[in-house]
Amino acid sequence: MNSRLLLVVLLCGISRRSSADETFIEELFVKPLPSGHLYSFFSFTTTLNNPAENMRFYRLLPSTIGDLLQINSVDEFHLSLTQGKWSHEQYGYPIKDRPAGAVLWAWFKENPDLNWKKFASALGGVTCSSLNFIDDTITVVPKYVFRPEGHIQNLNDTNLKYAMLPGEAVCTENLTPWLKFLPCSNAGLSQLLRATSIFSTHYISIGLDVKKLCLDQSCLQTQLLLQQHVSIVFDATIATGKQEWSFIKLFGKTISSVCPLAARTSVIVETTDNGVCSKFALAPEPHRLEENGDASFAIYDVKRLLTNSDHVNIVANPEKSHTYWTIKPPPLTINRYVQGYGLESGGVRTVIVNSAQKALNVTYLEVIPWYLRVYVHTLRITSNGKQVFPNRIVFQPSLDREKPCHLEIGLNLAARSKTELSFSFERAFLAWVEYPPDPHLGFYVGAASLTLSVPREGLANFTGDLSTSGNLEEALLGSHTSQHRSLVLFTEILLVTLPTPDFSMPYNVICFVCTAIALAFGPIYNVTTKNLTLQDKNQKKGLLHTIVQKLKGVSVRKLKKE
Amino acid sequence: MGSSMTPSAQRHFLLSAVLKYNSVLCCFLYPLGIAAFICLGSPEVNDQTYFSDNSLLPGMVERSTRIAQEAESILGTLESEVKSHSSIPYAWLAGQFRQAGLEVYRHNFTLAYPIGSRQLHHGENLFAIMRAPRASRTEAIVISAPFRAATSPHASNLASIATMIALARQFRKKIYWSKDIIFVVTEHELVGLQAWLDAYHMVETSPGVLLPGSLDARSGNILAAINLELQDKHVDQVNVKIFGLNGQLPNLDLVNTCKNLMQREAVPYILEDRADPVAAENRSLEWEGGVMNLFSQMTKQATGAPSAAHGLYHRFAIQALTLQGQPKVRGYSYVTLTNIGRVIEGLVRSVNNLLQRFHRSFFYYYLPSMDRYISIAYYMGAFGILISPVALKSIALLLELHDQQPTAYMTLLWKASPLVLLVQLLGAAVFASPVQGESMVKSVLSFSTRDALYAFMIGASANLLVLPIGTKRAIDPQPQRLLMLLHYLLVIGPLAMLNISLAVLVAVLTVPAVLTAGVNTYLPLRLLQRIVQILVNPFVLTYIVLFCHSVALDRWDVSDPKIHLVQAFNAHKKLLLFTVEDWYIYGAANFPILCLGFLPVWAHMWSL
Repeated sequence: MNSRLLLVVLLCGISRRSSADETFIEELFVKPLPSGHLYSFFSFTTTLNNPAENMRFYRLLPSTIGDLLQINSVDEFHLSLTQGKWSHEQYGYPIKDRPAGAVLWAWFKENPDLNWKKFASALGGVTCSSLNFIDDTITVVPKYVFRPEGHIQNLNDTNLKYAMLPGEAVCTENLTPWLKFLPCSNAGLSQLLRATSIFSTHYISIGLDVKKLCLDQSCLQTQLLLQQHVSIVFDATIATGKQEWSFIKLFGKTISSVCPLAARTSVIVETTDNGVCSKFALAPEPHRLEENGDASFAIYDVKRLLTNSDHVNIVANPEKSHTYWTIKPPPLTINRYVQGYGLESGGVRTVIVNSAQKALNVTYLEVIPWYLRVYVHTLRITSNGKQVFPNRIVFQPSLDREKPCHLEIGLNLAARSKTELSFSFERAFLAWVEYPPDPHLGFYVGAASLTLSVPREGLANFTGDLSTSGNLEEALLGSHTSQHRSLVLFTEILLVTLPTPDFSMPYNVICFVCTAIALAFGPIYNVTTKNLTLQDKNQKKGLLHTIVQKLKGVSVRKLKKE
Repeated sequence: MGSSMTPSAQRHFLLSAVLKYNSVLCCFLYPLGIAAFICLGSPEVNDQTYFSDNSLLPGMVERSTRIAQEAESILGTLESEVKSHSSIPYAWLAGQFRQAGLEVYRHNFTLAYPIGSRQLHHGENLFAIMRAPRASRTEAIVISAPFRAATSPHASNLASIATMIALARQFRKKIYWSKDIIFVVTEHELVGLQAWLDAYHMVETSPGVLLPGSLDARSGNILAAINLELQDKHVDQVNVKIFGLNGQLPNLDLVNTCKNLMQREAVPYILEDRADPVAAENRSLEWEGGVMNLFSQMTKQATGAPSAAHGLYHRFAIQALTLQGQPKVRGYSYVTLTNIGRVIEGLVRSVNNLLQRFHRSFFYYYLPSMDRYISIAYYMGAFGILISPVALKSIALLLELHDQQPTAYMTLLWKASPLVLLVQLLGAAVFASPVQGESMVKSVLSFSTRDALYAFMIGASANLLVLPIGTKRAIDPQPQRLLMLLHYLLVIGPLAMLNISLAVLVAVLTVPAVLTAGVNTYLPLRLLQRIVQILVNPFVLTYIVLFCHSVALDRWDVSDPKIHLVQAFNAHKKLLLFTVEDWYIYGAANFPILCLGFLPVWAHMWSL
């Protein structure tokens, strides 16, 4: 009895000590979009203060992640698995923009080449995705973009690796292991993440970001930060034409229990008037109302809500039906398209529209797989029809079956300008084993990205930057001017048709050719190996003579007329 | 093997046979080729159509839309909108699509008319994109309809636009889409669609002529397109149109899917204006129907003109067909837009299911009925028989030449070749200069553009008539005749891959003339030879065809041939203008084929 009491006391002691070291915050952000859609962003933040060099025991942070970081000497990594395209024109800017398919970039302490493949495969294993297909043919080392978000000791630019798998199909099998990383995978906000509802939406992106932050100036105190996030775009108006929503309608579920490990469980609803969506009444009443610049938010503390009732179901009821009308696009948009048709050559054209009143400095990153052979002499950048030149450019030509084409361009986008960037490519012939074994529509080219630092005075439609904030509330409500914020926009992924043979045809051809060769072999062999000698037709010869002649390799066929 | 070892005197028996019997073989093979084509129409010879890609099938299972009422009410509003507009009622249409939850964009284009004063025409299309949920804008399906104002010579197409809006509303509510759906309403018939397609693919098909402008938004690869031409809300039968620019055809799987859906929805259909032959006890009747359909399709395909706007998609590897809903056909009771809508829904859903591009080489076929197809494997054989006389004759001529001049025959052939170059150059000159020639004629005579162009073309090609006078002495007849046959084969062979119908019709009409050209006989027969050669001149031949067509339209009543002659003459002028126009605006291949293929070969033949 005594010993058991001692154990309990001891455990409490441990947990009290470590609860100061590790925290878990869960947040949900809901925003009605002018297009009638509804954006919901889940953020689950786990922090660990002063991680030891060789950690073995974690309380809240998933040990798989901890092990992955230690074994592969990873300082920071960002993974996202996405279905669909976030439409900047229709939805504005998300908190985290991610392109279709899988994207992974990581900063390593050492040995990036060796650790990258190992790390990607291991991460693919724990997230049930095909990250193991990441290899040198699709990996690049960006020079100016995807800088570390956290703190990295002895920063070495070549320790970065970046790869995309645009064709990756994201489904429930990726969500389930992802949920397992959470301290509470079936309590609190994670209750809402039911595969059947969130995979029948218009856009879904699940992601993992791990980085190390400094807690003081000299960086003696550090913090390991794991941000897990899910972005979902619902089609809210589909049933009634009103942009109404509730947890039941969106997720088919309510929150029925708190996550006891969470320090904070909050739901933030944006109530900013965007001029298109009608005003809506929220039930139950929010606990706090906050404003930050033009934006206003209603904030719920789910733990408080659950003390009064068994279920939390936040309902928003708009006053009138949604009016679909022209949507003012955000100040900076980027679209990328394949140019041309046919199977021989083509081009890529990117259109960047800056409708802001001031010039913006951006960096454009493009990774083209080797089987599209980029002609760099055709690279042409025009701004409002006039040719312009980039501030800086990084170009690494592709090498067949070894590395992709890497193009990084620093651009100054003039105010109210339309910048077009285009280049041509030639489609390569693949070896027959390089074609996917299944029926396919073509080959995917990963999304290009556009990185810019948000001007101090802000950018219209900008929601918040989670990459420089500890948690969502901080990102949404934090001061705009104090910190450096950046915005990364991803383009569409591209689908390119390569000259694909009709694979039943080679089979036929092989059959034909083999038959023809077999038939031709006999006569050719005869002609080339046997001597023709004249023989006397009347001379009788014995069997022995014939055999000897045969052995000598002389044709014994008699000439008919001589 | 053996032939290489035998001395040249001991020729392979097949070659000896060719040399000996080639004339007989020619007389035998040419009719045999024609007969083979007629046989292809018989159900005994051709095949039952089938689905090559099974992923198309599930789309046919469930079709749930019922749009008739909605579409009819939209049509009512649209009709009253159109009365107050001379062009597309953009604001109203945009509002309709936007309220359905689609992204709507406008597209401006300009046509600088290539011939004459290069007049500028402006146009504006409207398109709406329905983004598929969780799709990443990599694939798309297009539903298009040309907008026709009340002043248009074509039948109204407002029912199609109403159907599009009604379908857009229904489609938007579904979450099973894996490909974006683009609804396009085009202005100025084919020109508008060509401009839209050019802008979509960011290419210029005809630089300096059609200025496609740019699109504000796009989607990915277009896998298939359905062009609608519903002339009324009550449709008695649907005319499926498949022939595209330069005789290109859509993948047979798409046509099959369409047929299957129309059967399921009990929509009466015809293919390219002709009904399927009725399956009768009497097999020969069915055969006759098949052959007539085959012939009708060949004449349509041979023109190389798209039978409707869908034909412009084919160049971009987009499988497309047109559903033309015809009202008030005798002997039919109508179907409503619900059935038509369901056919379209089924088509779009089938294509939506595709996991790969339309595959198999199902782009070369004839459809004697919607259920039976003639594959390229069959008709190429028949075509081979048809032109084999020319090949045999040239082999025979080569052997003859070889026997006469065993050492110098190659030198003789080389010496004869400059004439080929000369006639090709003359053809190229005609090809390069219609615009300049037209303005030249206009500066001298006060002709209209059409007449000036016609006068120039006829004048320029009439120069070829005097070619023999200059070359008669310079050429060696026998090698020249051999070269002419090879020249002919070189033109007609590749043409069979580009536009088989044109190749077949040309072969049927010209093979006898080509075979007999250059044969040295006594005068009356040589005169006949010349007459035949004149008759097969591309210009004369098209005129004769047009004349026959004009007479046929008048039920073979030739009591007043003058009317038909004048009609055919006007039609001929128009045909030539269209041929040149289509080349400049859409890149249709008929004009280059004429100038760089038919005319030089004819001139070559004429100079013998």
